[in-house]
Amino acid sequence: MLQIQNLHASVQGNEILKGINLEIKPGEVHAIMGPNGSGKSTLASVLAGRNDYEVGTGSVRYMGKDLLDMDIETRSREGIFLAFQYPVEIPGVSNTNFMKACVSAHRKHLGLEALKPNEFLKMIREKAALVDLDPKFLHRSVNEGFSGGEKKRNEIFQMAMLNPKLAIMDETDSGLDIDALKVVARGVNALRNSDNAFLVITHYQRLLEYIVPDYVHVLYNGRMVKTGGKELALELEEKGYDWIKEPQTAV
Amino acid sequence: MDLLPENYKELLLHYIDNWTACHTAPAYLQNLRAQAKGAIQGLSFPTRKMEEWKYTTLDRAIGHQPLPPDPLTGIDPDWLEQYALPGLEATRLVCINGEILYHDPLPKGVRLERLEQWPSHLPEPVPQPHDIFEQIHTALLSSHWVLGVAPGVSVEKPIHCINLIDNRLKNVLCQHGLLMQFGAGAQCNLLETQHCLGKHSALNNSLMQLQLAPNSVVGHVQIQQGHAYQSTVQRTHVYQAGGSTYSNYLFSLSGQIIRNNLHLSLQGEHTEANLYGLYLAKDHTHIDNHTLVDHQVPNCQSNQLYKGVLAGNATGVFNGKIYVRPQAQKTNAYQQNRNLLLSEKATMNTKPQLEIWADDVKCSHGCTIGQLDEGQLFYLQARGIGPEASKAMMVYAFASEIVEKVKNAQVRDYLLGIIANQLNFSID
Ligand SMILES: Nc1ncnc2c1ncn2[C@@H]1O[C@H](COP(=O)(O)OP(=O)(O)OP(=O)(O)O)[C@@H](O)[C@H]1O
Ligand SMILES: [Mg+2]
Repeated sequence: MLQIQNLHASVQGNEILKGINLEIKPGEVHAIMGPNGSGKSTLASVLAGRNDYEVGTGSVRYMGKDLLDMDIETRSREGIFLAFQYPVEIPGVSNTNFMKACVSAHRKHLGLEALKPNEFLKMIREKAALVDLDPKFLHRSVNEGFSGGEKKRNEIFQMAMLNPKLAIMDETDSGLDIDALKVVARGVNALRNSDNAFLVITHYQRLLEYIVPDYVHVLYNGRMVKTGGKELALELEEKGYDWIKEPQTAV
Repeated sequence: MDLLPENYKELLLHYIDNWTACHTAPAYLQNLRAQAKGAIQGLSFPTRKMEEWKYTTLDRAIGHQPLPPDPLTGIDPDWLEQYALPGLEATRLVCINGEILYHDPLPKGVRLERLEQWPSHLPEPVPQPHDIFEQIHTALLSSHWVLGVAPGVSVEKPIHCINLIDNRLKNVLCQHGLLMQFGAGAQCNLLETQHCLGKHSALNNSLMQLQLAPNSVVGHVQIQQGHAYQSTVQRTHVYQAGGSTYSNYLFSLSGQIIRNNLHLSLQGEHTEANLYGLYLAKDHTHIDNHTLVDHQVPNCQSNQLYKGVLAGNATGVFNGKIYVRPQAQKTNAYQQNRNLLLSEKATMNTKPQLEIWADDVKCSHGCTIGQLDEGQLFYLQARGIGPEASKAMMVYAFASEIVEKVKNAQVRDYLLGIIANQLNFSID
């Protein structure tokens, strides 16, 4: 589904990603861990198409196509979803209207008929219920005045609405209380199937108890330095990152 | 051929003579007209050297030598339907080229008369310096129309003033105007819209005066729309007595040059004034809003929020004056002007002008001129919305903050429809 090869990216002349290799197959859950500033969000942003970053050498293929060649909106419509580490507030745009615009853009791109208003309403209610999002948030402006946890929950709600093929979750667990964490995990697990994949960026192995990963990667100073199974997360929680220095080949 | 302002003035004075000769009026108005004509001789059209017109020139609007239109008589109420707002139940009042030619039956407690037939004497507004446009307005006025709401009356349906400009046959200069008087404790909502009937250039020189008696509550929505050769110079003077609340919602959505002067005198204690403005300008449109909130007595409150979106080669001006007179202690006055520039060539001049002579007051002001936020655009695009649609969505959101202030749902829907249409934006 996703093949990243030797990906380099820099911002304002500083190289942040220094040769990332990663392959994700349908049905898999990959976790990325790593110290602050190691480049996790940068990787997520580059995949989503943010153009503050200059992508140097390297390639990213997604569903057989050159991802780096696609517009931001096309990536989304083709199934890439980024749950932001810091979701953006958009005053004046209600969550419902926002989702209406997103869903209709996606459906149009996929050659599907537009949803009838009642079908859309049904869908939005179902997905809100899936992530325990109080319907009053649907009428509020996107993320405006939401608490940190509410914003994260809103990201997962949007993810459920758009049903992505590849979901990239950037620290969706930070700022969540334990109940909210379970709700998020429930949402993810409900969406999970053999055709889609998740890339979960986190600092805590706690989330990975609920969303069990197939692989855990360590990103350190712009490189994937270690890859293992879910037990690697536990090990990192105990020992920290000091013992990992040298790069290894990622799966 | 385009005219220079001096030549235009000469042409106009000559025309005023001819026009006056064939438009009879009561003696009082004949006197006023003659005085106004005399004043015009000593005044000049605004130039950029005048402080109040530093950023706005009307040369483009008067260069096509607009003159008063021919009189138009008799209209078919059915024909008016096209100018009604969808779903809005209102008492319509139709003004063509400044003359009221039709109105729906007036609700109880509402009166509409020519000034000479008005039963009681109107209180004299506080005198103020009249500029050339106000003098032209008076010199070419066919009659003063007065709209009054009796004390204690709550007018349920809004009064919709449809201002039509007949520019089908030639370039026209129109004098729209209304004197309005709201009795003590009266409540009323007003809506003004304007439309051109033709394609010739038009200059709408409008003058509205509102007098609010103690404890009256008036909501006043003004919607300005026009084609690329239609300009507007509009003055709205509001005199507020104690305990009254006046809320103005001014939407300047299209046109060639629009200059608005909104002047509020807070003359009685515990009055409240709200001024909301939204202007959308693209291509070569120029929109200039001058507001003046004059706090003359203690314990009053004014809130002001003007927002603008400028695209293409459009230019905008905001000048917001707040006067707090020495005796106006305990004044609360707020002013905000926020602007979005959508192109490199669009410009905006904004100038808050607070003059405070009292010491125990709360006043604040702020202005911003910015572009769309990249982070927000990325967020929308990352959810699959295309770049143009993302921009439109954000501009729409920016603009709708002002629309949301309007209390009437049909008026809001109408405005949102126009704005969405201009942005080429739809939710579905
Ligand atoms: N726009 C930018 N301008 C300058 N530096 C940037 C920019 N974006 C990222 N960086 C730098 O790149 C490095 C990697 O940042 P990134 O956000 O990818 O880290 P991260 O691994 O997600 O960290 P965290 O765990 O704290 O979220 C940091 O040193 C950061 O300061
Ligand atoms: Mg990060």
